[in-house]
Amino acid sequence: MANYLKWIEIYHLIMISAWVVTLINRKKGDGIIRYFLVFLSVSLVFEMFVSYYFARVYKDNRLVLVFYATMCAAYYLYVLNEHFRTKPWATYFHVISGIWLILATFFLVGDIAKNTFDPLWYNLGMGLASILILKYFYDVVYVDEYRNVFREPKMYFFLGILIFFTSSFPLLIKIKFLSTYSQQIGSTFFGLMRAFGNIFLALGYLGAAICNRKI
Amino acid sequence: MQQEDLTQIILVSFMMPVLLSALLIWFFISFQRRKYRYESEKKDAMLREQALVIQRQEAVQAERNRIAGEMHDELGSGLTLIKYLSDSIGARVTDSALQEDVGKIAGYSSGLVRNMSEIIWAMNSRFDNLEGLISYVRRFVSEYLDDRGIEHRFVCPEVPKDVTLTVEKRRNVFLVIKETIHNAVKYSGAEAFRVKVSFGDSLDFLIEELGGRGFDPADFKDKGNGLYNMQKRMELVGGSIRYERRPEAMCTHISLPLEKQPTGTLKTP
Repeated sequence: MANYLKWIEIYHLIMISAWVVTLINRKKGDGIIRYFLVFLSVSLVFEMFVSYYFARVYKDNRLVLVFYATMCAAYYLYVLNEHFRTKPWATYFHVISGIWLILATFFLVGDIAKNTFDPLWYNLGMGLASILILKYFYDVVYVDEYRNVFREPKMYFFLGILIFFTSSFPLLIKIKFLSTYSQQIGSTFFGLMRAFGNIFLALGYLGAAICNRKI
Repeated sequence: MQQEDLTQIILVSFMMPVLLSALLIWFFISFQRRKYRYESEKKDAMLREQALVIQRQEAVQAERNRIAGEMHDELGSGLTLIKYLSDSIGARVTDSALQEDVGKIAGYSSGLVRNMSEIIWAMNSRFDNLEGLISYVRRFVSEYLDDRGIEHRFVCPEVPKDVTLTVEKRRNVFLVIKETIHNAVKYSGAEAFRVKVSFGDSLDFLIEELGGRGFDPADFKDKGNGLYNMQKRMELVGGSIRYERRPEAMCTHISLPLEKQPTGTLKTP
């Protein structure tokens, strides 16, 4: 139990809050971000139980994490697809996302079989998501009709993702180097960056959860 | 090589948050500008719309005044002429049947002149206020009851200035008062009337019938549309009408809500 409590981090608690808020808001009507409650539920199960279980029993949870991270990237792309579905270029985006999902799944299965870890496809998916999030911000300022985006769940959701990805991106590229050759620096530096990114991501979820209801 | 990698990572790790911060700063500044522009445009559009509404209201008022003026000048003088000519013919003819018919023409003409006067009063924007309504009601009560030799008293405190009343409200309230007095005279045999006016959150008329049987609306509930129409008229303007039997008099309360303006003056909603 004590071990498990040590496993729990601040961002886990924020994610639980986001889940509770989404659950409460769910009673007031369907949310603007679709399947958000399902996504948060799955995320919590992975973050708090599956990941812990693998770390404890198999002493390595990287594959679980990369599977979970790829799933998250897929969900982010799904939300972005929903958001941009009326744009003329939406079809291209659907196709690119579809191709990415197929290849990411294919290589993920390969990674699991070989018991290796390569964040390339995750990075590509997140890179694609980040570009579209930047497009979202651009549209808010220059293209779309004015609206108060600070009451929009997607704003917090996308902002959280962007902060998370920019903070973890350099580490994800060189994650093997950090974890293999410089464990000490890696653990402190990586740990700090990861915690920073995760807290902002969870805060993004919480912001989205608070705003995520149709009024 | 390893050292170079590490330096690269640390460099990129610091560069990314810097770039992200720059991006977020750009976003917030641009968004605030957009918001400011939007609000200014919205305010301008609202002002333009208000100006348009005022312009339209002024045009409608001008048209109402024009029609009222022309009705007064053209139709009013024509009808008055018919009345005088009828009276003149009636005085000269000896045939009693013809005299009766001519008398009817004179009577109808007088009725038309009175009704037209009411329409002109309702249409004229000069009277779109509380003072206009009160003075018209006072005049009507006085003329109507004087003609029938019934005693009356009109009690009214000083009328607040600058309280606007729409045509609809003025006309409906006036017609309800007119109908109330007419019913009371016709059916209750009232010997005297007291009309009290008061202002608060609403404009209230209290019409007291003194003497006689007292007009009881319950007796007329299923007869004709008069009472129903009065109720509807008051509902239409957001007001109410109710009857109260007191030992000394039958009372009719007519109430029209007034809205307080920030300056302390009153305005209808």
